[in-house]
Amino acid sequence: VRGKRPVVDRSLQAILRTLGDIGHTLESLSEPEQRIRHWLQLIRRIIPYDGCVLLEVRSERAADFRFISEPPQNGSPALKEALASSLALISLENIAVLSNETAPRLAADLPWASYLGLPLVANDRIVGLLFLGSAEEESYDEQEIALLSIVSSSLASYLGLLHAHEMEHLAKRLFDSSLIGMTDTKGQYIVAANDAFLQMVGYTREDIERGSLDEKAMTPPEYADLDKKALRELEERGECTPYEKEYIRKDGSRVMTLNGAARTQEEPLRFVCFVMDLTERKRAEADLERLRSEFLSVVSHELKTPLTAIKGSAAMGLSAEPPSQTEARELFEVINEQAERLRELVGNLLDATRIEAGTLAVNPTPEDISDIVRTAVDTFGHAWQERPVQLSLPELPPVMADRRRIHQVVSNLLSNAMKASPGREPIVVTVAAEDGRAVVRVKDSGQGIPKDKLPLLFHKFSQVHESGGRGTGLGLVISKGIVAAHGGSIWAESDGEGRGATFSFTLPIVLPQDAQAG
Amino acid sequence: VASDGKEKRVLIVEDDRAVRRILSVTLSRAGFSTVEADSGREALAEIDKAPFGAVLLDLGLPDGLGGAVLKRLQASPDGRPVWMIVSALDEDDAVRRYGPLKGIFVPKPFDPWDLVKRLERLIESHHEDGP
Repeated sequence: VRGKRPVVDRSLQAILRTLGDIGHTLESLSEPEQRIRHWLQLIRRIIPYDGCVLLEVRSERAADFRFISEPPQNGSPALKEALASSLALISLENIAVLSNETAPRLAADLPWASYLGLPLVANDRIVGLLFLGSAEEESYDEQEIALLSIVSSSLASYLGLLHAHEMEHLAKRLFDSSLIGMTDTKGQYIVAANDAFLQMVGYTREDIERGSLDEKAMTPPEYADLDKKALRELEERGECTPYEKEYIRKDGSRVMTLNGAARTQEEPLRFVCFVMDLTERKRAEADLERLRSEFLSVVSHELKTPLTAIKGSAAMGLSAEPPSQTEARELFEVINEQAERLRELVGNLLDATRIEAGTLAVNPTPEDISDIVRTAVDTFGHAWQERPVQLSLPELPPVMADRRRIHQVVSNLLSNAMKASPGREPIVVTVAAEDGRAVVRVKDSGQGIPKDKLPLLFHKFSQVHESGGRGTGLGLVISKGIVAAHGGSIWAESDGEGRGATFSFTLPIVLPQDAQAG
Repeated sequence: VASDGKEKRVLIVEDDRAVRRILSVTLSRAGFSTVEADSGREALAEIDKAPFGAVLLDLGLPDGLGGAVLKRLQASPDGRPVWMIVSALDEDDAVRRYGPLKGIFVPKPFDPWDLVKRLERLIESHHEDGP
């Protein structure tokens, strides 16, 4: 519909009244969208339009825009896209009013015969673009452009305030969040800090007000140089590279932190400092280091003990006084036995390394899980005579298993069960089908496992019973790796110390169509 | 020299059966009598029971009492019995774990004959220095 250009009252009186009204409209920062819409409606009294859209630039970098159009149904996605793209046509250095003459290409994308696009600037940034469109060609003249510029300055300031208010809110939210310690530091004095920081260093808000939070005094002398370097960077670049330092807490103890800072004022220097508590991380690192060294000494023990026996046996066999035939046989038995122990250990170390590197290869084929378990128990029987093992091995559909590797897992669980219960209590081994999976359980009634240690069992370097039997603790790590490579899971349950433990693992049951294919 | 024969009594503290056996056989052949303990608890009980001329101590015992046995030995006022520390750890690691070590440190693996010779020399020198 080609609208007839409405006649407007543009007397000085009418203009002044409108200016007064639009001033009132933008008096508060609450409900800004309604206020802006009202503003758009009000200016229509002196500058007529068929459509009007405000494109508010909340963040140019993040392309975060808000559109307010009048009438409201005027904001199709295509129009919004066209308007947003018009931002590329202007810059702070080149503030120009967009119109059919200055930006004819944009005109083609707009639903109006003629238009005006007025950049709104506040606080040295483009806060928005105000578009007026008319169904008439050549609708807007110099006078109207000038008038629009005058009235829109109030909207620009308003958008600037709105933005500043939002940034303030954001900064406050950030500052008050307990995720990271933050300080506002003037020179060497902390003039504000959030709870996270205060907790870290053990000071209170009252201490800040008293001026007690002196960065220099709170920093141990060995970190003074790092602090100086950071200040230099702040002066030169406005930011400093995050670095680790310690603070002396109010009680005299120390806390390890990671600090980064950004300058907020040049002269005198003021900056926001981000402080992360590294205590937990340092503790975890130390724990890991301790476990690693523990593991090394266990491996060292496990390697050198059989070597000692082998070397000792050989030395005795070679001694000036030759051994009797019976003695010689015994020596060879020791050598053989200990070499076997070494072979097993080296095998375990290699397996653990493969699992850690993710290169453990398994070749699962359809197998009878009960048969694998029976074979493992039988093989084990030779090493542990007289130990009763109760078996429940029903006939199940085949599972996908690498026979050798699953045998290894079962042997491992049996070996652990035997070690954990040195008496004559039976070990119970069962196989069952549950939820489309085969579950193998090895239950002992031995020393049990404290609840808090259960999750640690399958981790490298962890041995739950420090005074318990010997071993590298690799068995369960390897078992877990093998079961995981089969797409199964493994876990332990125990009612606590002295109450036995059950180790279970699952394997996928072969689906009928897979079995036929295989 | 060893009039009451106690100088010739050696306590072997070692949890590994094979190593214990080898030490025992080698020492027996060299004319020592041996008592074996496979845990720290047992070793402490044996030390309390009757005097020894020497103790061979593996620090890394599964009951974690290797350090306690060492402490007991180091606390002895007359320096008797003499002892040697046998360990799968390097001496540095052993010191890190058990603190400063008095006594001769023998890392595993060792030659049992060599160890017996050193033990004989140790007993002898201690006897000469002793009261």
